[in-house]
Formats: sequence, C-alpha cells, structure tokens
Amino acid sequence: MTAREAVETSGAAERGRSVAAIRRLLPEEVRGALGRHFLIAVPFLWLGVFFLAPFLIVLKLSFSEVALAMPPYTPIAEWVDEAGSIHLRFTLNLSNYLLLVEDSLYRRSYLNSLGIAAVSTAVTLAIGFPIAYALTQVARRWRFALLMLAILPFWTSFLIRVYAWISILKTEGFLNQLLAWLGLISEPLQILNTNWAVYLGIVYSYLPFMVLPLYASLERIDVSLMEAAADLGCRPIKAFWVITVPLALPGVVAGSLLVFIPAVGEFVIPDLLGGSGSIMIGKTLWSEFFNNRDWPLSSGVAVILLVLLVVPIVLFQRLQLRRTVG
Amino acid sequence: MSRDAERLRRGRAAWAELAAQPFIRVVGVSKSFGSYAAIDNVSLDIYRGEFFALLGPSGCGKTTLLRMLAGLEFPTAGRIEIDGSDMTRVPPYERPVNMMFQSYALFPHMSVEQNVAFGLKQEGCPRSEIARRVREMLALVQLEPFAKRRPHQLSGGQRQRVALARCLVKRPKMVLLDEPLAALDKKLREKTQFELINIQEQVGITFVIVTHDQAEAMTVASRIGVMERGRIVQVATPAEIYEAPASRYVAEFIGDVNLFEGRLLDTANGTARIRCDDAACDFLVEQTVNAEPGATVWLALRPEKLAIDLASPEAGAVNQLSGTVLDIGYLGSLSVYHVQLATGKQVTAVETNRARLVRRPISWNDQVHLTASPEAAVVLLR
Ligand SMILES: Nc1ncnc2c1ncn2[C@@H]1O[C@H](COP(=O)(O)OP(=O)(O)OP(=O)(O)O)[C@@H](O)[C@H]1O
Ligand SMILES: [Mg+2]
Repeated sequence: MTAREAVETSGAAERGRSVAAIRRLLPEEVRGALGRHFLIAVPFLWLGVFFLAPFLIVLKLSFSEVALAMPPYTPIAEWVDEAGSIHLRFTLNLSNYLLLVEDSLYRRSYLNSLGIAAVSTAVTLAIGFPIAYALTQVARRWRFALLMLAILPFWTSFLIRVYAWISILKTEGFLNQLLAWLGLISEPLQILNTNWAVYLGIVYSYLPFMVLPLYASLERIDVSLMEAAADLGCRPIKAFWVITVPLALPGVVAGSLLVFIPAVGEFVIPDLLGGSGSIMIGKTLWSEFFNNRDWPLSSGVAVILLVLLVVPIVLFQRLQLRRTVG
Repeated sequence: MSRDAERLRRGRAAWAELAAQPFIRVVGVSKSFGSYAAIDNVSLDIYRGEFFALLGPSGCGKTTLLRMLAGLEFPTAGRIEIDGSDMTRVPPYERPVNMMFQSYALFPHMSVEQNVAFGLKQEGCPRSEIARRVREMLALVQLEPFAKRRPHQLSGGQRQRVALARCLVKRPKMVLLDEPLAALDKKLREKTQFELINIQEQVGITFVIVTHDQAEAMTVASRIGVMERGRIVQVATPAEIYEAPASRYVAEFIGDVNLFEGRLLDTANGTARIRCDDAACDFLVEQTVNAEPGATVWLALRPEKLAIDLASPEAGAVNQLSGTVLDIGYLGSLSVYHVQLATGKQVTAVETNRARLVRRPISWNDQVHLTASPEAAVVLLR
C-alpha cells in the first residue's frame, strides 16, 4: 500500500473508497478471488460463531464432572501449584459417556427418539407428497394462495398450536366429543399422553417442512417429460412412479431430513402431548439439565445426539456425490 | 431402402397415384382453446413413407396439429385416422406414433441407453431384444460411445439424436418431429437435415416435421403443408409451392417475391394478359387462369426470374420494366438489386455472380431494364 492510500485508510468515512482503491491495485483475478472469498467467508463466520463455538463449549462441558459450584461443573484445565511449581493440569472425564452407553435409560431414549422420528417422517412424507403433487397440478393462479395456506400455521406460535392440540385430544376434548356425538365411541379415547399424540403432534407441526421442498422439486419437473412417457407407451400411473417420483427424490431427501432431524431432538411435543411412557432424548436432556442440574451429562447427551444425526447425513451425501460423479 | 422411399426417389410419388390409400387422414379437424380456434377445420392426407412438413408462422397451430396426431391433445371436432383405424380419441400410450419434442424431453435421471430403451420396456419386449434394438438404434444415430452418459452430459446435437433414436426405436407407424433442429446452429442444422433424410430413408417410417424455417421444409420434405392461422392453405411438393403458390400468402411466405396487383385483360391460347398499373406494364403470362376478364388478380415474380441489364432490350420484348437502382446487396454468391420503377414501386432482382466482381457493371442510380419471360411469372387469384 502506498503512503497516500495509508492516509486514506485512516478515515472511517473513506474506508469504502480506499477498499476500492486497494482493489484497483490488485490484478483482476485476485480481485475476483477476494470478492468470492469474502462471500464464502460470511456464512462460514456465522456458522463458526453461532454453531461451532457453542458446540465446542458443549463438547468441553461433556468432559467435566458435576460439582457443587457456580457454574456447576469442574474445569477440565486448571492451574495447580504442586511443590512450588505452577503448571496446567488437564482432567478429561469420560464417565459421562460411559454412563450414557451403559445405562439402558439413555439407550432407550435414543432409540425411542429415532424410532418416533422415523415413523413420523414416513407418515409426513406419505401425507406431504400428495399435497405437494396436488399443488403442482392445480391452475397456476391458485398455487400461490394454496402454498400460503400450507404455511399459514407458521403465523401462530408453535407452542400455542401444540397447546391447542391438548384441548382437542384430551378426554373431554373436542375430538372425543365429536366421536361420541357421532356414536362411534361410548367411552372417551385416551389419546393425549400417549405416543399417538406425539406422532400426531410431530406430523402436524412438521408437515410444511416436508411439503415445501417436495413442491419445489415437483414443480421443476417439465410436463413434457410426462407427455414423452405417455407418447412412448407408458400409462400415467406408471409414469408417475418411473418419472415423477425419481425426479422428486432430492425434494424427498431434503424434506425428510428437515422433518427427521428436529423430530429426533423434539422436546416440546413429547413433553406436552406425550405421557410419562414416551421418553424421547429431548425430554431426557431437559430433565438432566434442569432437574438434576447435571450440565456435563446433558452435554454428553447432546454430543452423542449430534453424532448420531451428522454421521448418517455425511455418509448419505458421500453416496449422492459418488452417484452423480460416477 | 424401403420400397416407399425408393418410389419417392424415382419421383413416382404416392400422393400422385390415384389408387394410393392415405396412411394418415385428418378429416375436418378443429381444436379450440376456450373461444380461440387454434385449428380450424383442417383436412389433410399423408401417405406411407412420406416426409411431410408443416410450415407456417409462429402461432399458426403447427404444434397443436402435431399434438393431436400424437394424442396429446384431442380435437374439438373432426376425425383422425392412422393406417385405417380411427385414432381421434385414443390416448397417446396406445397410439402407434412417436413424437420428438421440441425440448427433446429426455429423462434426466436415465442414461442415453435407458432413455432409448424406455419405449421398448413399456411394450414388454424381452431384455435381449431391447438390448439389441437399442444398440442398433444408437449405431444408426452414431451415439454408441455415449450410451452410458446422462442427457446433461451431451451436446445439443447429441441430445437431439438421442430424442430421435428414442422415438424411432419403437418402429412406430409415424414419427412426429416438432421443430427438431431449432436448437442447433446453422451449420449443424444443415448437416442434420441431411442426416434426417438419410435416416428416414433407412427406416422407411412416415415422418411429419413441424418447422417455421422454409429452407428446412424445402430441404427435407417430400411435401409441404403451409398453414395460416389454424388453416392449411396449400399442400404440395416444395417445387410446386415455390413455383406455383396458391395464394399471395404462400408466395410471400416461401422465399422472396415481387407482387403486382393487376386486372386480367384476356386469356387467349393459355396466355393471360394482365395490366398492372403499379408497374405501368401489361404482363404476358403463360398460364391458364380461371377468371373472367376484368377480374383483379396478382402477379408474383420471383427476384431470380427477373433479368437485369443496362442495355435496353430489343424492340418487341415482353414483360419489361425499367427503373433506377436504389440499393445493391452483395451476398457473395448473389447480388440483390433493389430497383425503383417510374411508378414509385420497388422491385427486387437477383443475379448470380458468375464472374468475379472486380468492377461492378451495374451501380447505384444506374438506369436499368428488367425483363421476365412469360413462363417466369405466376398469376394468383387470392
Ligand atoms: N394449451 C393452450 N391453451 C390456450 N391456447 C393455446 C394452447 N396451446 C396453444 N394455444 C394457442 O394456439 C395457437 C397455436 O399454437 P401452436 O403452439 O400450435 O403454434 P405453433 O404454430 O406451433 O407456433 P410456434 O411456431 O411458435 O411453435 C397459439 O395462438 C397459441 O396461443
Ligand atoms: Mg410450436
């Protein structure tokens, strides 16, 4: 940088101009690269500050031990004064992870969560696909309005909607009254505080996350592909399975991940709608943290949950990549 | 080569034989979208082994007519017969017809091979036969090295050949091509036109091609149907369409033409005499004209049929005009002269540059004479 430009840099108001001046001094390709790197850096910075850093803190916490202190855990690195010489001592405590693996409560929580999330995702997909497909078939001028209807529930707080389900599902609630009035049941059904209510809550809450990516990928499919299939002797129903469904696969994967991942860690729905029998890992984590004040153990729960979710996704992406390249 | 293709070659055209049965019959077909009539009472016969072109400006209904032949659209009125059976309301997956889409509509998640095999699989062909026929077809369109590729890994021209292979492999009774070459650049398009003709002769299937490029239609087609706003206005061979257009619309749509409005004076001995005020000339045309003397007619004169000269023609020459050169377009092989007549009308004449043009014999503002022989012009009643 020349002296003149160094002076320019000093004024804050001048900064914009001086950046431009510096960039003018750089060769064309470096300038392009600078802009590109800056653009790429922004999301990385965001992820670093709001995802990676908190995760590292949680990871560190998971290797501590509970202590009656404020904050309620032992440090993993500590200055100690031993026989006059001061040095840093590291204590990595693996007991949290050992407990998580050994105690069947945690194992059951994890498996339960994965199972409930998997079933809910499948049901959401089964309901969401026809909805998304129907959206692509209606006249274009109706589509926007219908899409808006699909995401309309977001206008109301998630928590309030889950509370609303309580009053629908409870024994003297709307659903039971309706069924009794129709004469279909003589005794009220116990739906609230069972796994059924949890499934219902998850499917209801996450349906838009399934419909939107499915709609996006279905809408991109050229109608002439279906015409070409028909022209080549393929009946419409078969064409749907061999053309539409495979081409909508990216949407299926995206929607399923968008539903499955948050559903695994779901806390509010099992807590409000599920019974004491429906243990999910989110609930376990919550009670470890707030009831037992065991920050290190709950951190361990969170770390394992993350590993359980991230590893399959990475493997899946690898597979996708190999398939498109190969 | 099939018998039909051979017959076309030798010039004994199927449509000229009285006994020949049309292979595809379109009878009084109309198609409306809401209140808009996209196709208006069209009747058309296409013969076995023909390469038929539908030609017309954008929006005249070419695609709509083709889609009705494919079964992708059903007529509002009328009947469509293919090889003797009524196909008017038969869905596309039951028709012995395959279409090549303008966008090619290749299945992006299938390889070239799978795309071509798709139609045969629907028929329930045995696996070994599918493999053999796909291989043969890929050889025909010279795509064997690309069999395992996905459509997005191919060039535009290669994709177009996959699309063609995909509709030929089923050996349909008729192949429909909707502007198959529109996406290709000029050189490749011209090369592919001849490839198309070759392939059509090899497989001997009836082709119907839609295009709005008249040169393309004239190159590939055995017959052309010219369309205007949902109607077919003329069906004839390329030479007939060019040399004997049925109306001013056809004459102007195919190639360049000088049109003069005139009055029919008499029609003695198969020669029509026409007075054209805007050319200040009485034209003699060797043509039997079915009109009463005094009727308003039009005279169509192609630019290349006008001879241009600096010297005045000898006395007694017929069909001669004179004017000043307004503009000269030098196209390398041709020179185009825009000449203004004394009446103010502009006329175009084209000369082949037979000798190298070092010094132009005819120049701007020169007084020139244009002559046309009595066989050169066409009298049009519409
Ligand atoms: N599905 C439809 N709904 C309403 N109008 C239509 C529909 N399809 C075609 N049309 C109308 O019918 C007319 C003929 O359309 P068509 O696509 O057959 O034209 P084309 O001759 O193929 O034109 P181009 O050369 O531009 O492809 C057009 O005016 C078009 O707007
Ligand atoms: Mg078209």
